[in-house]
Amino acid sequence: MTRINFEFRKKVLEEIPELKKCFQCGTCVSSCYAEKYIGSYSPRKKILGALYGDKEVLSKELWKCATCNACDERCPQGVNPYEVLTKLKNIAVRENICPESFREKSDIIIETGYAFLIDEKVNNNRKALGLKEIKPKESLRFVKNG
Amino acid sequence: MDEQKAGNREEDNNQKKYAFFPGCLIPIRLPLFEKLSRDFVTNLGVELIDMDFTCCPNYNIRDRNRFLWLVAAARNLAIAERGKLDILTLCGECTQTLKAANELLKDKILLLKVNKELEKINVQYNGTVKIKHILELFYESKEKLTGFVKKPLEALKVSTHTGCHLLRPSAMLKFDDAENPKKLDELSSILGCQVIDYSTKTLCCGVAVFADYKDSVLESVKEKINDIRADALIVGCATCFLQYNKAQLILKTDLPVLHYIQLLGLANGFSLEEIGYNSINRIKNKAFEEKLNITVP
Amino acid sequence: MTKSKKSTKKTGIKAEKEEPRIGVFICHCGKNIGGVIDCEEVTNYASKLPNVVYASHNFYTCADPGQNEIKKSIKEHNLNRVVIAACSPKMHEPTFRNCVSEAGLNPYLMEMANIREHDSWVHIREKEDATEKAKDLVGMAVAKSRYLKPLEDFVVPVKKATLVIGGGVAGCQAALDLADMGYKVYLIEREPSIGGRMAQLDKTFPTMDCSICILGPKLVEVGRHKNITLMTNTTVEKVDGYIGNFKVIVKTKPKYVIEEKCTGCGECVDVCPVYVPSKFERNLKSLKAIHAPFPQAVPLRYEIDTDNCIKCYKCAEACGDRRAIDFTQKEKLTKFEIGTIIVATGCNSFDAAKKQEYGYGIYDNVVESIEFERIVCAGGPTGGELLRRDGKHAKRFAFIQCVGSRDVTCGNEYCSGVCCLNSIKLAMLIKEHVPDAIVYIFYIDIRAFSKGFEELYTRAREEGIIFIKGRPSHIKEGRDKNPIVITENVLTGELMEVETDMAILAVGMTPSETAKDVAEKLHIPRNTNGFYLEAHPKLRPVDSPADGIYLAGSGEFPKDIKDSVTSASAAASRAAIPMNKGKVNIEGITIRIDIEKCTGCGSCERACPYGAIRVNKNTKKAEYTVAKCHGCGTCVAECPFGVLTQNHFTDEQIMAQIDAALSSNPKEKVLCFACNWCSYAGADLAGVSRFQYPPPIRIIRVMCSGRVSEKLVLYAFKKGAQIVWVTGCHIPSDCHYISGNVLAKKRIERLQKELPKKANLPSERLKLNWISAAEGNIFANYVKELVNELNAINKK
Repeated sequence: MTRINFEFRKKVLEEIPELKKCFQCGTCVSSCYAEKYIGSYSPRKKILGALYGDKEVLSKELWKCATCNACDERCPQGVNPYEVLTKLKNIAVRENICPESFREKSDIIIETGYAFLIDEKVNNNRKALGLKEIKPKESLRFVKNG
Repeated sequence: MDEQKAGNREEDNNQKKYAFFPGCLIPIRLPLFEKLSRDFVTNLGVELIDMDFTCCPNYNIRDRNRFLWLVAAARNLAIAERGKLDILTLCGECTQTLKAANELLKDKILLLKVNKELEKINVQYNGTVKIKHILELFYESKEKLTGFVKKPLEALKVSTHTGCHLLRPSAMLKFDDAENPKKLDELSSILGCQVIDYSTKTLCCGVAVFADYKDSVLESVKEKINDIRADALIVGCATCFLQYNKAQLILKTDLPVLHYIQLLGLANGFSLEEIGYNSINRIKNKAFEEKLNITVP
Repeated sequence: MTKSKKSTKKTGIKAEKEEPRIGVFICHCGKNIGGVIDCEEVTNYASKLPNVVYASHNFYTCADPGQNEIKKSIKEHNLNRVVIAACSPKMHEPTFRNCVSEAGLNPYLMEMANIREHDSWVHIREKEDATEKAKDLVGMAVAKSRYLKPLEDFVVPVKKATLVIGGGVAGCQAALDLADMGYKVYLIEREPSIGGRMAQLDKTFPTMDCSICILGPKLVEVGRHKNITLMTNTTVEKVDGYIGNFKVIVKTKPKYVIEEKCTGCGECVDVCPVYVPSKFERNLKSLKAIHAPFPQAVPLRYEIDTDNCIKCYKCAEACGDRRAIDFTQKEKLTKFEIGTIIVATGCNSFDAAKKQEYGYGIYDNVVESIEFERIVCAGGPTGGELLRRDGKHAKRFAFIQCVGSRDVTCGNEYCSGVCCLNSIKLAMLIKEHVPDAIVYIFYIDIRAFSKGFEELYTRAREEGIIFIKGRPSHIKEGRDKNPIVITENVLTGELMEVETDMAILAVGMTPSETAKDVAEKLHIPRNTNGFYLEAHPKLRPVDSPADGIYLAGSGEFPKDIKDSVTSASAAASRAAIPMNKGKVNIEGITIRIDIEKCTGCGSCERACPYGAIRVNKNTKKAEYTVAKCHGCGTCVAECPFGVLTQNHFTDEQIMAQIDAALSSNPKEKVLCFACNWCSYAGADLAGVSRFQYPPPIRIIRVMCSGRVSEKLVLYAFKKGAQIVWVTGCHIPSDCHYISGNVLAKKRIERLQKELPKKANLPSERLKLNWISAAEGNIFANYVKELVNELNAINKK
C-alpha cells in the first residue's frame, strides 16, 4: 500500500521545492540514458518517491545517473530533474548512503585541488611539451569545514 | 534554429585576453591537447593568462554537497574577476559547472552566503565573469580558422560528437542546439572534411557510470559506433575522447576518435605523430591514415 | 427648491466655494479587507483628519445597503466630498460615482482609496502594517479630495457602425449578429477568403459534423448580407479616435482580378504555367498562381499570387473579352468612420519545428494536426486517402499531445484546451476511413471538459483507439522513414518504442501573427503569450480594456468553435450597447490652459498624439479641442512653464497626496507613481493573485506615466521619500495614450542624471520601469527589491 510519509516529505520539499511542479509526464524517463541502457532508473519515479516522502528514494541507485542532462533539457515544467536528483544525492550522502568509490573521488578534489592525482610522470610529460609543471594545491581545503 | 538557444552574444566576440582554465583532465592526462590549444588560441591573436584555478569542481563535489560545490566554483570565478578577465575553458564539464554557478549566483542572497564563505580565503565574487569554451572561440573566429588550413582534409569523412556537458541544458549553455547540434560539424567542414550526420548524435558517452555498469555503457557505445558511417569520429570533449578510445578497445571496433584540436592540427599541417595519434589514440585504422595522405584534385 | 437628477449633475452643490465637508466610508468587503485591516481603527483615524465631518465603516459598501448609507450621509451631513476606502477604483469607481451623483453630488467629488488590491490582499500576514498603510491611503485620498472640483462629462454621439477585424467563424458570427440587429458592419479579412481555421477542418467535435458544411452557409450569408461590407485581402492600416468615433484606414492588397467581372469559369487556371504551394492546404498541394482560394471561398473569386506570378499574361489572354484580369491594380486605401470595433483575428498552430526532438520538418512522415485535417478531408489534397509522403497508405498512426502547450521550454505554459478532443476526433475519423488502422494517442492528461466531450472520449476507447499515458521525449526515424515514437508508458513504468507509419503532432494554438500589429494599432494590451488581454478575466471577458473595442474568438485565448461563436455573439451584444444608446459619456478629465502664461513654445503640441492641443500660429497661444483629448496629462508635464492643468489630476491634488503619504516616517516609504492602464492594473493584479509584498510602498495613481512631471518627483524627494518609483506601460507601444510613456522615459531619465544636482541624491534613487496589467508578479517582486534597497539605505 502506498502511504505518504509527511515528515520526510516536508524535509525534502524544503530543500527541493521545485519538485512540486512535476506533473509526472514521463518525458525525463524516455530521455534518460540510465533508464535505457542500465535499466530501472526512472527520474520520474524518484521524483514521485520524493514527493511521497519515501525514504527508499535515497539509495546508491541515484548514482546510475550519467549526468547527461537530457532530462533537464526536455522537462516541460522546468522541474530540472538532474538538479533534483543531485539534491537527493546530497541528502543521501548526509545519511551516508553513496557508492564507495564516490567519497574517494571527491576527497581527491578537496585535498589536492585537482580531480586526479599528480605524479612525477605527469610533470615529466608536461616539461617535454614545454608546459609549466603543476602541483597539488590546498586552496580547496577551506571548503571541507563549510 | 532559435538564435537565442544557439547563442552568439555579440558583446563577447573580439576579446583579446582570457584567463586560461584548462581543467584537470587535459593538463594531467592529455597535456598535448593543452599545448595544441594554447598554440592555436595564441595564433588567433588571443592572449591566455594563467591563474590560480582549481578543479572547477566537477560533479563529484556537486553530488556530495551543492553549496560547497558552489563555493568552490565561485572561488574560481572570483580569481578570474580579480584578474579582470573572462574565462576560456577547454572542457565541457568545466564550462557547464562555471556557467551553472554563475546563473545560481545571480540570486543576491545566495551570493552573499557564498561570499561569506569566500571571505575565509580573502576573495569575493561580484558576478561579472563570463565563460567561453574554446570551441565557442573557434566558432566565433571561423574566418581566421580557415586561414589555418594548410592541408584541406577533403578526403576525410567525419561524424561529430559534441558532448553532453557542452550542450545541455541548452538554455543555460547557449552553445548549440541540443537536439541537432551543428557547430562542431561546421568547424569540421571549415577544415575541408565531409561531415556525415547520424541519428545517435546526441547520445551520451556514458563515462560517468562506466566503472560500475560496464556492459550497459558498452551497449550504448556499440550503438553509436555502428550508427556512424564515417572515417573518424570527431569529439569536442576530452573525456568523451578517452571514453570512446577505451570502450572500443574492449569492443574491438576500429573507428578512430579524434579530439577537434587534433583535427585542427592535421589541417594545419601537423603529422599524425605530432597530434598524438601514435601515443594517445588507442584506436588506429589504416584506411583512415591513408585518407590523410590523399590529396583531392 | 427641488433639483432634478439631471440638473444636479450639471450644477451640483456649490462645491467650489465651500469649505470641504468630507465623508469617509471604509469598506470591510466581508473578510477581504476586514480580515486583515482593523477598519474601526482606520475609521477613527479618518474621523480626526481635518475637514472630515463624518466617518463610518461598512461590510459591503458597493451593495445596496452600503450605497444607501452613503447617499443618506451625504444628505444628512451635508457632505460635499466623499472618500471611499475599498477595492480598486478600476473595480468600482463607476459604481460609486453613480452612487454619489444619485445623491446630488458631482461624481468627480468622489475619491477612492485602494485598501484591498493594494493593501489587505498583499499584506495578509502583516495586519498591523496593513492597517497603518490603510490610514496613509485614506489620508492620501482625503488630502486629494480637498482639492477636487466638480467636472462635467461630455456626451459624444456613437456611430452605428462596426469594424470587425478577422473573418473566421467568430468574426463572421459577430458581423452577422450586428448586421441582423440593423447596424452597418465592415468585415475585413487579410486572406483572400473568409472562413479562417474552421474552413480548413474536416469534421467538428464532438458531433463529427462536416465543418465546411455548417460554416459554408454562414460565410455565404456574410457575403450577401445587405448590412455587411466584406473586404478581403484587407488589413488595418491606421485607427484614430475613440469610442463612438473611430476613424479607420484599411489597406486592400490587389488580387489583379476584378471581382465584379470574374465569372469563376476557371479558364485562366488551365493556361497558367506557375505552381505555388497552397497555404490553405498547408503546403500539401500546389495550385496555379491564379486560383480560387478553396471551393467554398467567400468571395468565390480568383486571385493571383503576385509574389510568384511571372507576368506571362496567358491568363489575361484566356480571359479575353471578359477583361476580368487587371495587372495595373494597386494597393487601395479605404477610410471609414465607425462606432465600435470587434477584434477577431483568431489563432494559428504552434510552429512544431520549434520542438526539434519530434522531427517536424525533418522527417517525412511527421505532420501536425491541421495538416492531417487536410489529409483526412475528402476535399483535401489526398482526396481523403490517408497517404504518407511516399504515397503509401498509412495504417499505424500516433498522436502526440501537448506539443507546444503546457511547456515552459517554448514559453507556452498554458493548455490550449481543444487539442485533446481534436485528436480524439481525428482518431475516430481514421477508424472510419481505415477500420483496421492502429491508432495511438500519447497524452499527459485528457481534457474533455465540455458538453459531449467525455462521451466522445468514451466512444474513442470503445473504438479501440489506444490511449497511452506518457509524453514522448522524441521521435526517431526507422526503416522506410517510419516514425518511431519513444516514450515512457507512465502506467506500466516501462519504456516504449512504437513504430508507426505517421506521427501527428497535436500542436497548441498561438495567437495570429497579426495580433501584435493589430494590438499596437488599436492600443490594446496583450498578455505574455501574445493573446489579447480582456478588461476583467471573469466579469468582462469580451471587452478589451479600451472602450468601444471588443474581443471575439481565439485571439483572446484558444477556443473551440462553440466557445468562439459564444464569445462572438457576446462581443456583438456588448458592442451594440453604446451603438443602441447612440451616445456615450466621455469622462471629464480634461485640460485647462492659463492663457496668460502661455508662450506658444509648442511643447504641448509635440507631446499630444491626438492633436488635441495645438499652437495657433496667429495668436501664438495654445488651443485645445476637448473631443480629441483622451486625458493622459502628458502635455501638462511637458509644458516648461506650468501653463497647463489636468482636471482631476492637478498638481495641487497630487502634491496633497504626496504630503499625506509622506507625513509620517517618510524615510521608510517608497513612493510610486503608477499609470491607470498598465502598472496600476498590474499592482491590482498582484492583489487579485495575492502575490505578497512588503507594506512600505505608497502608490499614487495617474492616468499616464506621461503625467509625472519633474516638479512632482522633486516634490516627493523634498518631502522625504528616499526612493521614488515611476512606472508605466511597456515601451514603446503599450501606452494607452500612444506615446505618453516614451515622453515619460525621456523626462525621467534626464531627471535621473540630474538628480544629484537637483535633489542632492544619487541617480539610483529615482526608479523607472514598465509593468503591464498582466505582470502582477513582476510588480510584487520589484516592490520586494525596492524595499530591500530602502532597508539597506536606512541601515547606513
